[in-house]
Amino acid sequence: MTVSLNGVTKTFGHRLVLDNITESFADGQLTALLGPSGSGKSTLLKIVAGLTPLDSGQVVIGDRDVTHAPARDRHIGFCFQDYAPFRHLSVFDNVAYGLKVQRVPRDERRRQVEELLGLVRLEDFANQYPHHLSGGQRQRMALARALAVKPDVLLLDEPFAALDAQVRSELRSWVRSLQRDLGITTILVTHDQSEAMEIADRLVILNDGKIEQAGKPSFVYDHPATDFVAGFLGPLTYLDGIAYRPHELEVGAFGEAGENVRVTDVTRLGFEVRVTLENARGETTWVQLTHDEARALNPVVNQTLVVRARAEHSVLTRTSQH
Amino acid sequence: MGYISLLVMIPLAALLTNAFKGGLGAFWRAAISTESVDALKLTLVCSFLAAAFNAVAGTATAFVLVRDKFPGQGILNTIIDLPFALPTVVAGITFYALYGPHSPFHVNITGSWIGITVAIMFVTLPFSVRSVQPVLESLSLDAEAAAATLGASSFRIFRTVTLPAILPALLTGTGLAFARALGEYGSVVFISNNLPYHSEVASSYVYSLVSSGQVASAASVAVVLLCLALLVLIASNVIGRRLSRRHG
Repeated sequence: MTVSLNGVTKTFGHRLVLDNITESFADGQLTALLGPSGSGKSTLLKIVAGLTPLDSGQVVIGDRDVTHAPARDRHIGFCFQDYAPFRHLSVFDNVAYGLKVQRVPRDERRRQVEELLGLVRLEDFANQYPHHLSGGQRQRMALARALAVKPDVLLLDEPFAALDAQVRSELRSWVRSLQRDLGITTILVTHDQSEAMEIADRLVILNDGKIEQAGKPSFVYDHPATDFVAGFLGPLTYLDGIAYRPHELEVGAFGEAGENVRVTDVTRLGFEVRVTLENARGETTWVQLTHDEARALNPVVNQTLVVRARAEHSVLTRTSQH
Repeated sequence: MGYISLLVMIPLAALLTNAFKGGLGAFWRAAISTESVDALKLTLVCSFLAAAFNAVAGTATAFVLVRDKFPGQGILNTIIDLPFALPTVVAGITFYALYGPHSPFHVNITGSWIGITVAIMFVTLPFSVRSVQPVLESLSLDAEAAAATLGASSFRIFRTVTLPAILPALLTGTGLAFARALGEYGSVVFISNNLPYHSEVASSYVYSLVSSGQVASAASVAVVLLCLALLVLIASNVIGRRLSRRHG
């Protein structure tokens, strides 16, 4: 179901947290609300959920204006960063909670909970308590609990932030495929740009209570509307005052076309090699080489090379060098 | 260990020695005399009522202190501990003045179980508030919010999410309040009128026995009181621990 926000504004005391946000979240899509901490993204999600009241504006889910509806009447599913398990209830009873509220008959409830536990691969943990589960399992339980009431919209507040790297990336792609299978409209709040790029159909980038840009991840990455978006979505490197993504610059041997530069540092970052360069005017820039490129060129400190923009480069915003 | 012995074990041993000086029979006769049984019964009933009432009122107070923001909150938070700091006799005299024969509100609850219960409630309120308060403070609001998104009403959220989380602490606090109430003397002695068989609590019966030189009988009643208090403490501890172990 489509979620529409119309002029949503929120202040905490004298601080304007959300400034007249108007945005639409398309049916069945996974949208990432991306921004640094303090950008207002979590507040916006909680306003959609009805967990935080707004000062002015309108929240519409499907064709229902829910601006003044309490959370329990909004038909949404919400997952928290800290999983928010009901600690005194078993995994089974956690998932069954919403169905019990809805007075689903016992046998039907059991059937549905077992199905959900199968979906999140926690069948064997039905009688365990949340503190017996790992972080990833707890978040899967929370997801099953939220999905049990067949919500119109799924809201995920930094759901992977508390997990370690490997579990995080596994759970991320698993949530992504689950979301596709169910076709449920999902809004995911995250501060992690790579997570947002990987998982989302669409990005909405928030900064300082305002939307900086919204669009497809690949488009926003290549065509950032503002300096903030350009810098937030990925690393930038500068050549002659123009910002580039690191892979958009290439280096060549002395004598080739390009600007002469001196190598000041070579750092191996696993698969890639980062080479820092300095030109005659003392301006520094850096490029990212693949292993093969690095082996062919074999850059060493104080060596003179040339640097140039690749032919197919997409010029980002024109910014002065920092 | 030596410290505990000095403070707790040795007096306890002396008490037991006194209680059983005349043998098991004398102990038993003193313990189950009509006056003793009536006093113990009254003490148990009033203590139970006071502890139960404080469990509710104390939880409500803790909620207000933790979840609400209002001017004067800090002062209220300090006042909660007053019953601990105030000599109980002072509390007793105050209650007698306010709700006694010369009550400015024309409410006289002296000599009744109501008066005794009110006095005990005053003295034991901090136990309930202070046991629940820190648990409430550390409780994440997210679980309550999750329940709300799952369709639960405020009352259902309290009953199914919040209450189970604070229950172990609440039980411990109530147990402490109950145990403390069993031995309460100072705050009760004025308002109760100390009518034997009628409005005499166990502690004041013990005092009257000592005053009339029946030290062994006094010790016997005191031992019964002690056992009851111990039983309450153990029970509330065991239940509390079992609950919190399940919750991890």
